[in-house]
Amino acid sequence: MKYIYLILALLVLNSCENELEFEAPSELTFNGFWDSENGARAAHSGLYGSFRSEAGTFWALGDLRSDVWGGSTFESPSSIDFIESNFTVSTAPYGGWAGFYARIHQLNDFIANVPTVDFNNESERDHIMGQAFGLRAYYYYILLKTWGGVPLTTEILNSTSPEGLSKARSSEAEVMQLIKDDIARSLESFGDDASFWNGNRNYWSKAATLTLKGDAYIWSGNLLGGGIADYSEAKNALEEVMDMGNISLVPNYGDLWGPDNENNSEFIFAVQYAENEAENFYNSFTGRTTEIWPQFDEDGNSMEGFVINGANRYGPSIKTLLISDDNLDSRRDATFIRLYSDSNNGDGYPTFNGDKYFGSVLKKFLGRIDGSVRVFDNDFPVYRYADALLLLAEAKNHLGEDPSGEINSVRERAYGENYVPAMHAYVNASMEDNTEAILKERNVEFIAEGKRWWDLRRAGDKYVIENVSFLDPGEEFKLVLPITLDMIGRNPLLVQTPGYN
Amino acid sequence: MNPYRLKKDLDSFFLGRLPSLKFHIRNKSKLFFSILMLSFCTVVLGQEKEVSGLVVDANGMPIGGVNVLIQNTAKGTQTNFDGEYSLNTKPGDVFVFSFVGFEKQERIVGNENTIDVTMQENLSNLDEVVITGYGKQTRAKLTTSISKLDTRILETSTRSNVATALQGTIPGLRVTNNTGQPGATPQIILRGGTNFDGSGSPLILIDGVPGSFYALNSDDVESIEVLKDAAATAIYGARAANGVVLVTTKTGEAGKATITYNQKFSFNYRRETPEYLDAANFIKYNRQAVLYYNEATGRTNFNAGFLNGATAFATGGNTTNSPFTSQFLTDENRYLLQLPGWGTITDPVDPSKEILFRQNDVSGNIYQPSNSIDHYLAFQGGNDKGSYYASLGYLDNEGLILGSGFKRYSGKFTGSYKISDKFKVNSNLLYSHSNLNLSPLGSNNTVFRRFAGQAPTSRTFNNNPDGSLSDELNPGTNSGFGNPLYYQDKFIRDNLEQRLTASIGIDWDILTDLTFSLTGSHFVINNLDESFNKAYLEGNSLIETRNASASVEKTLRNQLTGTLNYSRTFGEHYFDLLVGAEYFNDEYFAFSAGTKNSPTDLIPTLNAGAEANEVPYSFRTLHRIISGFGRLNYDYDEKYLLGLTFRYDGSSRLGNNKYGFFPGASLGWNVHKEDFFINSALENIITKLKPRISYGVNGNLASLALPGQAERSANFVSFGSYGSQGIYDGQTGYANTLLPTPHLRWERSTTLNFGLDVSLFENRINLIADYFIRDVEDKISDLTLPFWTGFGSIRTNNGILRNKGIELQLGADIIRGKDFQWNLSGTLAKIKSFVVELPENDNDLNRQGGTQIYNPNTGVLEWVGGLQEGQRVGTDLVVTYVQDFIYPNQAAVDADANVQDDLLPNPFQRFPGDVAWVDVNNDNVINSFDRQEIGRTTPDFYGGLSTNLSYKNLALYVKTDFAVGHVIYNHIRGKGLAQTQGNLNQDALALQSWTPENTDTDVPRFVFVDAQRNIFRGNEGTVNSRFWEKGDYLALRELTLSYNLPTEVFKDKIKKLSLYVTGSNLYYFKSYSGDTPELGGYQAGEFPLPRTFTLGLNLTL
Repeated sequence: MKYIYLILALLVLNSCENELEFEAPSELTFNGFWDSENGARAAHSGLYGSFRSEAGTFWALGDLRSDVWGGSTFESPSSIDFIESNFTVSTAPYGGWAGFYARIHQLNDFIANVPTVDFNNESERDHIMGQAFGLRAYYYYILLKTWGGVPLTTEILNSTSPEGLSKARSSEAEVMQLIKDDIARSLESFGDDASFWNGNRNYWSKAATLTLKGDAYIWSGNLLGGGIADYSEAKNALEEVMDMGNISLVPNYGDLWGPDNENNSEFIFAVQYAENEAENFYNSFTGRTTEIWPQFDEDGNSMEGFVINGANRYGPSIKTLLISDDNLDSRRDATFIRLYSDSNNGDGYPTFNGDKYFGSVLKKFLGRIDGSVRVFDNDFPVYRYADALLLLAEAKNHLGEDPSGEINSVRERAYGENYVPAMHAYVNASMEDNTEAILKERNVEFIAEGKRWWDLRRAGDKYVIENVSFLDPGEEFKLVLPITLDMIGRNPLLVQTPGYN
Repeated sequence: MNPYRLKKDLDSFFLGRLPSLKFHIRNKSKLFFSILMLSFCTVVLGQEKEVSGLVVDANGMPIGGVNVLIQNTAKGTQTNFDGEYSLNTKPGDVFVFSFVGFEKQERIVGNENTIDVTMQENLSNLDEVVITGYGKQTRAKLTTSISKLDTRILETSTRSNVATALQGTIPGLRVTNNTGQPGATPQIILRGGTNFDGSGSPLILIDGVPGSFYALNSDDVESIEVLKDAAATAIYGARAANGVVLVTTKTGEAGKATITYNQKFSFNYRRETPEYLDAANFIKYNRQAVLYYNEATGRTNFNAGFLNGATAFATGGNTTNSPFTSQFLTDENRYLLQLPGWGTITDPVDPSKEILFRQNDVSGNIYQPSNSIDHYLAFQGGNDKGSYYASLGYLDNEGLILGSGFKRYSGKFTGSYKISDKFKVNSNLLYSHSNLNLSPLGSNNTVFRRFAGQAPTSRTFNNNPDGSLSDELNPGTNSGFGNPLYYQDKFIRDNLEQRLTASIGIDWDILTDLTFSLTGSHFVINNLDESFNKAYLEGNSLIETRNASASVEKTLRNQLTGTLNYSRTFGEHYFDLLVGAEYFNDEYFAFSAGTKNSPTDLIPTLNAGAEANEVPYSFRTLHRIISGFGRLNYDYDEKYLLGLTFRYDGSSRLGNNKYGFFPGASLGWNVHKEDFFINSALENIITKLKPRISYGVNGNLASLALPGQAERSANFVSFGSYGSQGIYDGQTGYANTLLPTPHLRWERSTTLNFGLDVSLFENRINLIADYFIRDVEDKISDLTLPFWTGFGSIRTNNGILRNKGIELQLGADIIRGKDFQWNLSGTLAKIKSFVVELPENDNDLNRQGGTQIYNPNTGVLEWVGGLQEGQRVGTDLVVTYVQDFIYPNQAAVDADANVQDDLLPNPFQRFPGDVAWVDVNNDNVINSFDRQEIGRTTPDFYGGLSTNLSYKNLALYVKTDFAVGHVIYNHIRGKGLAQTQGNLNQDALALQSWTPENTDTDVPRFVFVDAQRNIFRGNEGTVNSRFWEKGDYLALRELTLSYNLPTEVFKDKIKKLSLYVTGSNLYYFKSYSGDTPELGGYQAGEFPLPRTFTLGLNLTL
């Protein structure tokens, strides 16, 4: 040892400590991030940037396994196995819990730190805390609906040692309890503040929490044994949304869509897409000019010149095409452009023709044309007023009340001038019939919005099996996903989803 | 002796008991050296007479600086610039003449007053001079593991990157050419790499300045040394864990000034392109594949697009300008059959119809004619005061694929001058200016798989209505998968990079034996990329966004190195002591911006853009290392050799443990110099025998960067990160994406190296052998975490990785005649990596990662791959489903009716032609547990063989290299046969696929989008074992025939004139179906090395 010191003493290194201490010029490190309101605001924007990154997954989990997709595509289709519920432990999809825990970690970090930050305006802190609890509840709700019981974490990971980090899945009831608690904490933070952050519906709000509350409590009531108590909570929350005053149906269904119409009064919470920020995933529902231009639309017009730069990976099922094939319903033309391989002598195909049908382009989220290209920057609605209305119809139906008012509000808007009460109005019937009517209404109303699978699930297992041709009685275990071996490999306390072993 | 125990003892001595060393000295921003002043007296002896003489080399040229010593005394002198010396002596004394690179000569002083000596060049590479860290040594005194490149290879063949010369020449150094892109630096990995995934690049020092091989002119290179064991590299401490490559550029030599001119002219040729299906078979097999798809899935969703649409084998083509020519034969288009290329085939979907098509061989359209030219001009000279070396170089290397190439202008100036006897200044400037043009068509995968895999029904040029070809290019499907000839000029991608290394230094002889050196250097890379998209057709629509962008990257590295060197001989004791300090600062800056909607194709720069495209960007990062180091080399009578080194490094990249201490020690014994050896019979056989042993510790922080990311991303990783989540509603959002690891420690690799240098039969046969164990402790890598934590992994000190292996280097002068010489040399290395220790987690063997399969030997499920304590590192392990056979017929399918295949859309539905998978656990269920280990993506061993044959002035040089034991998957083939692309052509292997007529085959039937999962099992990352191939290869890397014109002819006007022809990358002996056998693993579509023929001349005046 002595000589080491001797050598080092001979060779004097000067002032090393200071030379090696400096801050990153272009990166935010752990040091000082939460010292100011600015950091909290950057983290607040971060919650949404990362939520937007998951939007495609939210859509896929909520839509693909239902009966909406799986129809013909004119390019290699995506997610066929998932659409057809073709998976086993070997091929378990969405490994790593779809990555949602990275987002939950961010929320846990946010929730733990924001209360320690001084804000100029304390009410703003309350608002963003309300948003954060609402978003965390939303993530856990998706996790619950997808896998059943999942591990719960609400605190920041404070150890970087792997020892003792294994964690078992909590029960579905425990997960639902956390969701309910977070909803309650969110509402407490919002207090009476029903405003949208900066007046912008691209942020979570009290209305969003209330809609989520309606959604989750119906689930809890119907699937987790919560019964009347939960339905009543759901109904109250949804009625509160109705009464807020700043949310309503837009008069014309077609006016919901397109970048010009965003931030409309019907959107409760929509994920923002914008130029120089991000584009959404709906270009996979369109196609390339090579295939589209030689085709004709249903009015017999040539598609040549149609500006498009996407892919055709998802095609609506025949069932979807037929259910929305009502020429009086404005949702028909607002949802798809149906392509045919000839113009039928210029007459087109006013009703669906399977022989000549080539494929579909989703019109709802077609973005806008910028010069010679199409930019897919439609916002993705997570909740909108029609959704809250029909959820209220569900809650009422479960409580034995008449849901026809809510159903008819939606229909009236859809049929517009074509609305003939005698023909189109729904009249309260049995609870079963009401359920079917609500499901059908939601099906047509929310095509491609990531709702249908959850709607069927929320209605009950028998509705899923009945409507989804790829699932047979006895396969109810498949309603929730298996977990991958890798997930168990990292966390030996995890137990495979029941039914898969 | 148990090497592991020895290693453990050494580890605990050097690492375990070392207290934390820290210095708290307040003075800022300067480095001081406290110098221990040593002075020694020399004893002046009496003299009797003066003897003088001249020392010359074999060509009669005087040699200056030759040491002339009187044996067994400290008395001596050096020859002057003219090779003359004089020395007082007495009869009976023995003069010993020694000079680096020459055999030692001894003369007994008699009565004469003049002793002239002719020095013979040392033919043995064992006595070569080897550049070591901050110094040089002769091989005879070296106790560490250092390999030197035989630089003859640099003299011939055009090299756009010097590192390609290293392939197969340095034992233990794996150099992999992963692209034929001119200018690209191959992957270089020493001794298996210190990362768990087998990666880890050595530190490249060019004249002592950290840099890279990129854009370095090979003609400027004097020597390349690879420092391999930790005792050699410990003096570079912090960044040396993966070895150190020292590149030394040329310097002027004292003597007559010379002018050198080298010229090389090369022709590049493509390798074998895959043999694809012709148009008739393409249509036939693909349409049948869609029918198989319909049958297997019960759906007909592809009929509209792929049978009847305007796609590659569908019938929607037209006679003039559709992207593909396939269409039903009708009376209206029958006239086309009169024209060349057009043909028909019966439609397998509806045999009553014929399909008309035009056969078009398009797979070669990605290539361009490719030549290279290389000029090099150098001036050098010097006298006893100073020397200079100045050079200029020009290289223009056209790439083999459209738009690719590399152009480089280089310049160098090296000079030194003795201001006084004791004070010397030197400076070194290296400059390069290069343009790297990558293919404008996209990545290698896009070019070689998609663009080259165009369907043979594609239209390159549109047809006129009469059927003749127009000169109008058809764009094809789209810009990512279309006609390369159409798209080649649509996307402008310009690059300019300037690199400058500038250094200035002084050597001050404070005392006779004590030298102080100080060198400051500045290394800068200025890189400018510009891109512009002209208006282009994407399918049918004209895209006129005309995106333009420009980006600038700057790297600035400043280094200040001070050393104090004391060397002295006391009788038989020789000491060489060095202490030094170094300051290193590395900064990086990037800036980029873009516009869109320019009105015209004519202006590619941003000024014409109508609006910004994306948000302008700039970014800055830096890191700093401060170090002290030292070395002691000692030998006793050149018999017993000892080397001790240390380095003490502080890095800005760490939080609480910034400093690391990295020592090294080495011992050697020149047995052949012992009296007992000289007197024994062995002496006649063994000329040299030197066992060596070394041990050392290196640090590493480069592994803080994620694999595949630039090292600079490691700069602030340990401080945790709030990463950008993109812009939302006009605000950039941040979220915690990385946990801080303030207690992170230096990753330390400790290497124990046993070496043996043996020369036999007068140095005719030379063997250098090394066996090493390298333990990478506190390995910084991703520790996998349960997903609920929100992190897939965390970058931290993660256990101990061990590389161990053996390296051999053998050289043999088989024939050593006056006129005829034949030399053979070879290298071989075999290296394996193991996981010694991992942090405690809740898994058996503290396993991280890996996958679970059934072990038929034990009958239980086991985890393989990943990291498991006590096992080989499993990150390169390929685990997949194994094809047993192809169901020849329905009876065979029925025999397996009870087998459930979990990977299939319908687990019980199989057809003749589908794969029968090996059911490892015989449970009649095919699932992930039935996968097997089928190989590794890194080779078991690798090396090279070369030979040099010369007769008088004619010489033949052949160099080969090889690697054995790795497996490769060829995605061009797999993706084609799976046809998950839609319009892709198939490798001719499709002709061997199962059909009702061809049932005895190991190639499954061709089903559209691989509906029966015969190729891809679940996803494209899991491939049928049938498509994994052995990667073993032997490359005929270089063959050079050169002729040195006899210089007598030119009466000394010309010192050297040689002409040569070289063939490079001539041939691979391999079984792999693709062109790039060097690269193990998943080959998505690679840019193979071209075959190159070079004509060159080297002229020295």
